[in-house]
Amino acid sequence: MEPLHQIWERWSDKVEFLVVYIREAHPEEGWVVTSNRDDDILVNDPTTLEERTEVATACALRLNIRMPVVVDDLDDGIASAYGALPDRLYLIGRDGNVAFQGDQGPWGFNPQALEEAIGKLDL
Amino acid sequence: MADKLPEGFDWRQITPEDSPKTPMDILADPEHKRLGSADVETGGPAYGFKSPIYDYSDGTEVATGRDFDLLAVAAEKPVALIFGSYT
Repeated sequence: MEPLHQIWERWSDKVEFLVVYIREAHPEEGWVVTSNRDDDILVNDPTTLEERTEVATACALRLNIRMPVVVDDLDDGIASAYGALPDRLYLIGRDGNVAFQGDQGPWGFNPQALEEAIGKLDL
Repeated sequence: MADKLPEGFDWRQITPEDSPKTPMDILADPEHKRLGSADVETGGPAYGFKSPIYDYSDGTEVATGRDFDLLAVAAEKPVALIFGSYT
């Protein structure tokens, strides 16, 4: 998260940043990864929006997220539209069009590419 | 996760033995395909949404009572969207 916070600090006067909290990538009933176990991040897939919001809160507080956050509803409507699972970056221009579509995470999650796209905007 | 694992990636190195699923299970799951395939693309219209904003900037949870309306905000200022989860 820290690289993204640094980008936010550099550009927040010209670009709005929003964290969209989506469905868990590695819930305990799915593909578990040892790094989460090591960090004591043991999360079952939320079954209500309230549960998902509670997990989002735990995440945001632990990672010290300073940007605004919204939580995708349980129908995963936002995540589905943006092909967001497990994580992804986008930039939306003032024309309402997608100015930058990052590659699908985790291997395609590239904050530097997002910042390069911001730098190309007419701000 | 992408459509396939990167070459040389050994998923067993990062997966505990009691994991209910493997990355192959995830890749085969139609739900994973649905949530990993975007309806939007560069140059095309963004998918608009309106959702309540939470603010954690002072170290506590604050339900601001305001909504984030993506298209309304983007009309004033470009918007960087960061999608992710705790796990």
